[in-house]
Amino acid sequence: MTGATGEHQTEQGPWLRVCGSLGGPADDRVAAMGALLGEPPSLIDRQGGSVRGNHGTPWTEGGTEAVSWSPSPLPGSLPTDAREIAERHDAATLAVPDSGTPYLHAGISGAAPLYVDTAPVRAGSTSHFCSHVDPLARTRRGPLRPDWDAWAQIIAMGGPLEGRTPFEGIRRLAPYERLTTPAEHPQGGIADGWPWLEVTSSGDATLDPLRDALVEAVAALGGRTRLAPLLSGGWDSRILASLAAHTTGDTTGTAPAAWTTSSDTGTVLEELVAARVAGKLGLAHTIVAPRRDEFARDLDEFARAVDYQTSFHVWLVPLARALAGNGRTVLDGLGGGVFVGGAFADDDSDRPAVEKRFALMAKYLDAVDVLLHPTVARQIRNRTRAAFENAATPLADHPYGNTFTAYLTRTLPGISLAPFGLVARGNPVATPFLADSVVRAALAIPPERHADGALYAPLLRPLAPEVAGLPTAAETPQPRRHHRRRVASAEAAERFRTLLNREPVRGLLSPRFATESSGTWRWMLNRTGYQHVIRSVATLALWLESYGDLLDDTGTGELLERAA
Amino acid sequence: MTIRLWLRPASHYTRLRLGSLGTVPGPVGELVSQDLLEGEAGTSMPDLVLVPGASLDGPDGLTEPVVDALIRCEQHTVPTVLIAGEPDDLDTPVAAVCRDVAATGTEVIDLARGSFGADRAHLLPAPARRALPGARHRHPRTHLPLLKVLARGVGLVTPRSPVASLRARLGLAGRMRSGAGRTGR
Repeated sequence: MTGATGEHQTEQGPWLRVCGSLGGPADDRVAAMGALLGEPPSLIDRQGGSVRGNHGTPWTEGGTEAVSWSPSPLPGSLPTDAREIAERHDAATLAVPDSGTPYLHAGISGAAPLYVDTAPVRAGSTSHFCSHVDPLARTRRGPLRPDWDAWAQIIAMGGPLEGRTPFEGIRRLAPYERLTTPAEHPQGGIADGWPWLEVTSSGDATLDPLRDALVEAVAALGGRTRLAPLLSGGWDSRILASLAAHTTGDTTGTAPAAWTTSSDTGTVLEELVAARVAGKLGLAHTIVAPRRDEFARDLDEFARAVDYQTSFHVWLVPLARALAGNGRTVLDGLGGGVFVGGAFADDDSDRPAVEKRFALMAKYLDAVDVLLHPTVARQIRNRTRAAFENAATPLADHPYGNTFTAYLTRTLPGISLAPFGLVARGNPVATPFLADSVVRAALAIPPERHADGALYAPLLRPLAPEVAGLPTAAETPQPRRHHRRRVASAEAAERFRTLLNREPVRGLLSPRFATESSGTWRWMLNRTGYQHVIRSVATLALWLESYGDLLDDTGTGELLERAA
Repeated sequence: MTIRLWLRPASHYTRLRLGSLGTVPGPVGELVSQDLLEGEAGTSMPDLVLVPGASLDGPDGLTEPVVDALIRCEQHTVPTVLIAGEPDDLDTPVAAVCRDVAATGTEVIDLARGSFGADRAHLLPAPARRALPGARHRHPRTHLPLLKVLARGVGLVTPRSPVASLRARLGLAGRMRSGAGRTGR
């Protein structure tokens, strides 16, 4: 048995760049993807599979050669089992045995994306995978078509469901998925044997294991890298910043530094509460203010960074740019709200669980009805509903069904791409709330005790009493939001109007909305639902512009119920 | 206070109560009647708060008293205006949380229009050479041009018609004329 043999690293482009083949050795397509990714070195190249990557830890076990990788810095020594690596380090692995079937294994959270081209469906053919969608799309040999189901879901929910991407046939691996044959598609985006679904809660569970798991997760990271917690006015980032502030294992002795920016949906209280928390914790704190005259550039940059799959966090671009290349591992609170904070709880109505969860997760459909052509709105609703039911129905009776539904239909397809698509271009990224030990400890506590974020203050109090009692931005009373956010500025409205009035996207809009004044567009952009739909359709416009030369069909006829 | 200003003549801009975070130099500083860094937390809030830039000896960091004062402004929906003296004033942590920016220098304002946006950057005029007609109230009548720029800039008083002002205050401004902005169809 041989353990890890040391991590390979090169610096150019996104912090993590990985591509390869499954079922065959490196071929010209792997070479072409490697060229698009900045020529990362070959880490493994065998008859059954290959990997090129700028970060990866090779290991061997008996006759199996393997490579594991993660957007978070991995320890120098790894277990020699792909499942154990997925659970303990949330890392992906390609394993190629001397005899037997090679496989690709995703991390347990599935938050760090790994994409595979499912086009070669004949038995024994080679499949290709990549950490980014773009190289797979640009090197595809067969037809390249839009996945209009994915686009419907991006507009209605913020991200494509069931592992879809904007391209038909290129899909994202589900959490803990073990891929041997790309044609096999896990129903509803739920892989067989995903351990998190098996965790049972107990009335005797306490907060101590959860707190210990978080402390251990952040301390382990702090022991091998410098930390940069993102800090908003909420609980999740406050907990991570508190843990980072108390981490003493930094290899360089450099104190952690917290980073904040202005979101397009919150208020300036987010920045002010973050500053108050950083001050109490004694953390260096940087607020990155977005520039109005760079909105168009930021929108374009975000869309490219997340492979056009979501538009949730355009506002994070200036912060990601300011952080890029400073070598710190960015701590992001992804998953805290769903697994600890009790977010997206079911309402008390008598409706079926899937029904009320759809109403909650697809809340942007109301704005779709207003802003888009009635035919398009109907298509978007139907295409979203069908995929949502595939994901939500198996979870309907699970004690944490609402949590897993939100995680699989919002956190993973949309939110996760802010840390693992955008921020990960310039920095290593860690999401301690998605560590296996943290999720298991959180799920062991009965759901009702999570309600309304009730666990947060008692969780944090023993760690950082100086900030555990401070109200969050959302808890600070404010009669009316009056701070004008960048997304509703004249500059942003003009950019959106330009993008949405281009063909073929213009045809998707409600005729009345398309001709409204700039003032009306700004009014719409100041409201979350309308803003979301406008951002998403603008992302579609940018995607069509970027891939127009490669796509076999750039028309939007399917959404308009016209023959393609 | 601001509600009663909607339909009043321009001379009533002089009713506005201006506060600050520290001492604001120059003519605009003569409009300030209350320093939030010195007052008690429970005292009434002004209509508008001026925040001098770092080059004008204002706060350049978000210290606890500054953060507390700015949070009070947010809680009372009081707009904050950075008074920038130099371009570097636009890049401080305090500038990042101010709603608008005003300056007397065109170079600073040109830069601020890029970062803050044209609608949030206001060029402060010089005071009038002689008193302008209208009731005096709190402020010198020569300072009416300054008050107009500040109050209109942050949206406390709009130069629009009374009907447009009323629609803005009721949250109706910008709603689609066609009625398509209504949900629940």
